This record gives sequence, C-alpha cells and structure tokens, in this order.
Amino acid sequence: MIELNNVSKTYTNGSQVVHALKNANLHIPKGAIHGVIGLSGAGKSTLIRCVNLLERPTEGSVMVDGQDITRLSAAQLNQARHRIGMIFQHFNLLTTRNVFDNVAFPLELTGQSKQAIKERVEPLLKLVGLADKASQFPAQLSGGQKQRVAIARALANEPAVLLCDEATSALDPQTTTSILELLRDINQTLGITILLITHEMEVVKSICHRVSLISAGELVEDAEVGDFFTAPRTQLGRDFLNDFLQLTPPKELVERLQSSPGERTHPVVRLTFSGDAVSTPLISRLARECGVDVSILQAKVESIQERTLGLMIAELLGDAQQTRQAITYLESHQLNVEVLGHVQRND
Amino acid sequence: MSSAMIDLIFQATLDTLYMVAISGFIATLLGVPLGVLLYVTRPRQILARPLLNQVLGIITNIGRSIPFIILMVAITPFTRMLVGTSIGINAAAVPLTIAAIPFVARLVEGALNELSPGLVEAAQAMGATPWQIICKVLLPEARGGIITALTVTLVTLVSYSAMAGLLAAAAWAIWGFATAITVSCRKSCWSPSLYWWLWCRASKAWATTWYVKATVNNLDAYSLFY
Repeated sequence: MIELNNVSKTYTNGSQVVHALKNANLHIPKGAIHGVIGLSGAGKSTLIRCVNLLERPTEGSVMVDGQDITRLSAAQLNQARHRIGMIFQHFNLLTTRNVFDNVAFPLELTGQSKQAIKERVEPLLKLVGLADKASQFPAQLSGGQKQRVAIARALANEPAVLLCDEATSALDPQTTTSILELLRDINQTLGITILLITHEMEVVKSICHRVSLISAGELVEDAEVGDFFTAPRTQLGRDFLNDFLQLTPPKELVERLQSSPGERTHPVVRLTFSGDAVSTPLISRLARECGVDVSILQAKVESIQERTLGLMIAELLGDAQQTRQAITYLESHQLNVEVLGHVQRND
Repeated sequence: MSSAMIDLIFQATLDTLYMVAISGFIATLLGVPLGVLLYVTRPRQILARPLLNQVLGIITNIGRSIPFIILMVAITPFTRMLVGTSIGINAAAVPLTIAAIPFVARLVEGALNELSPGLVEAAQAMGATPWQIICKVLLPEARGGIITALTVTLVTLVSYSAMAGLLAAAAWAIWGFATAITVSCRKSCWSPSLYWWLWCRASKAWATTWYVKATVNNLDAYSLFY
C-alpha cells in the first residue's frame, strides 16, 4: 500500500548539506500498522512527510495505493492527498471551527453538499466517541478529545492510508492508550493501512505489526514487532529495548563486572526468551541438569501482542565447565543469552 | 462655547470621519490581499515566490518608512490626477489611503505569522489548494489579528488626517526648507528638478495657508471659548 523506494532527502543550508533521509526503502502491505521509531532528529518526520509529499524527496519514488505520487501534477497530488489521512502531534485543528465543522473541513474541500457532509460527519463523530461534542470548539476539549477530532477529520474522505506523526506524544499515558485503541479499532474495522512515527516503544508494542528503526536518516532495522522485542539486531534497537524495559544490571554489579572470566568468577547473563520457553520451568531444570544455581537479579515478563516476552538478568553460580554447559543448554531451548560480564565469587 | 466653534468641531469631525472611512475602506480592500500575498509568497510557503516576495517587501517597506507628511506632499500630482484637486478632504483621502495600504499589509502579514504553521500543513495534507488554504484556513484563523490590525490602522488614520489638516499651516516651513535646498542644488550639478518642484508646491500651499489664516482671523478667537 505504501512503498518508499530509495527515497533520499537532502537540504542545503548555505554551504551545509544535511542528509535528512538516506536511501530509505519501506514496503507496507495493505491493512498493516507499521511503526517507525527513532530518536529526535533521526529523520522520522521527514520520512512520514515524504509519504504525502509535504516534503518532496530529492530522490526516489513514493508509491501510495499503486500510484507514484512524486510524478503527479499539483491537482492530481491534491486528489491523491484526499485519500491519505494524517494526524499530528499538536492536532492542528482549526480553532475558529467547532468539532463538527472541523470534521466537515476535508469534505468541504472536495466540494460535497451540506447533506452529504452531515451524513458523513455524524457517524464519524460517533466512531471516535464525540457525538455529544459536535458544537464545542477545540479550546473546550482535552488533548485526547482533540486528537479524536483530528482522527475523525483524517477519516472523513475514506482514506486508504492514515499517517500518524507522533500522534500520542503530547498526551498522557492513559489518553495515549485510549487513542491507540481507537487507531487499532479503525485499522481492524475499516482496514486502513497505518504508518506511524514515534519515539515511544509503548506505542510500537501496543499496536504495531512491524517496526522500522531509523537512525541518522537511515532505516537500520525492519522487523516484526515480536522479533524486534525479543532480538533486536542493532545496538540502537537493544538500547531502545533496554530503555523501555528498564532492564539494566544494578549499578553496584556493573562496577564489579569484568569483561573476561578469571579464576574465581561466574558469568552474569541477560536472558531473553519468548514463546514456549516462557512456560517451561527452565531455571529449575538448569539447576537439576547442569548443577548450576541461578541467582536472579532482575526479571520481567511482557506480553507483546500475542507473544510473551521474558527478560532476566541472572548470575550463573557454578564452575566454568558447568556454566558453559548451562549457557549451551539455554541456547538449545531458543533462549537468547548475552553474557554481560563476569563477577568475582563472594565465597 | 460659541455656536461657531461647535459648528467648526462638528464639520471637522464629519470631515475626519469621511477621510478615515474612505481611506480605511480602500486600504482594507487593497492592504489585506497584499498582506496575504506577502505571507504566502515567502520561501517554503504555499505559493513560494521568493523574488516576488522580495520586490513586494521592498515596496511595502518604502511605503511604510516614508513619513506621512512627506508622502502627502510628494504624491500631490498623483492626487490631482486622481481627484482633480490637491486640496480638500477628497484630496487628503488619497495620501491617507496610500500610506495605509502598506501599513495594513504588514499588520495582516504579522497576524498571519502568529498562526501555527501546523494549520497550513494539515490543510495541505488534506489536499487543500492554495486558494482554499487562504480562504478557509488563513483568513478565518487570523480573523482576530486582522480585526486588531484594521483597528490600529483606523486610529492611525485619524492622527494622519489631523496631519493632513496641519499641512497647510506647516507649508511655510516646508517652503523655507525647500527654498534653501533648491538654492543649494542649483549650485551643484545634481538635478534640482525634484527640489524645484517641491519648492513650487510648498509656495502654493503657503499661499493657500495665508489665505485661510486671514479668514480664520476674522473669527474672534476668545469668543470661541466663552
């Protein structure tokens, strides 16, 4: 549904050339919810703005619904944009229009009759749960309600694609959840393809099917959300994940960590496990079968869509032979084992 | 207060209202579109035309920076061409309008500048044409700012209209100034035609003033207040 092929965007600022986007390739199938996550200034906004040509790419093609929109004339582009909804971090509602007229705005642009507008706006307001607020003005609404109006407005012309530009970044966690639920509903009931950019892992975790990681204008990772959360392939991906799970070894442990094993050390490992491994009593089996005791320092179980993800930081207590065996055992059970370092034995 | 004074004040008020209304109306008609044009032709705006924008900007800045009293004298030929005379309230309305147009334009541009750029972006994303953005987003959203701009303009026009009335009285000073310049320019090789023309204008205005003063002197100044 959305296809970016070798899209690059460069700005020239005097003699300075800024590469906002480098050779970005992205393929989003119909009906998918695709997230792009990255730090501030990584090029997320440029990426999403290239999809409806609010930013025109310097190179590459942008296909939306089978149409290369970089080749369209101004009038054709406006036509195409009617079928691409967009919502923003700061909502961008018209302050002089009430809720009803805000949602009616895109319908006015396409020259629809008053009657047709009324018939379209009312169910939309019902869909976003604001049927009773039709005559209120944006200034009278809360942030979450404003975003609901923006969503209704974006859906007015029955778009095939919805672009979400940091749509929940200005909202509190509770409101974020309700807006994300609304987006998921829309995706499921209307079959709209959603591309969203965010810096919050929570957003990716709760609604995205696939996720891309963007860094310095490049898409560095593209994975199913479940895979991304269990085994990110890049360091940046791991940083995002650790930050999100807040699973870092305690500070006093980090201070004692040494990178290579010594005479009397034992390894500290980070275990990531998903699927069947979650429900298998691996720790007790480890003790039985390898003779290794496990001291759990931190642990967390997250459910990411239909998958369950377990994370653990643990010390493996045993001699070198035993711990090596234990690690092999864990890996053979589809656990991701990362040795963080080694600590001196206390005994 | 004598009835003569009341009549005078009444007539002057009517004249002021007339001048301000005419020039305010025309300046709004021309200044608001100019202000919008100044905004939308900026680089990275919906109708980005950087060259046109610069030219308009320079013209507007010149219009804004000429002191009204100078402008009034300088455009006299234009005024006469337009209304057939260079004295009277119709004639005064011409420089008032000319001065007010760039004034309105800059204030309107400022009002548009206050809008969040996100509004235009959202409208663009919805497939709005530039014309739709101007009519359905920019003007309605900046309505408050534009009304303020027009109010400020009307108040300024009132004070300018008083200046127009004072021109006659001040003409002798300009005449003296222009004479001095004309004399000095004649000594240099630089074309003195502008100053010569200024001198002629000032002389005529001075003569008119003298006539008006003589008439006014016939009124007993003290009787106006007792």
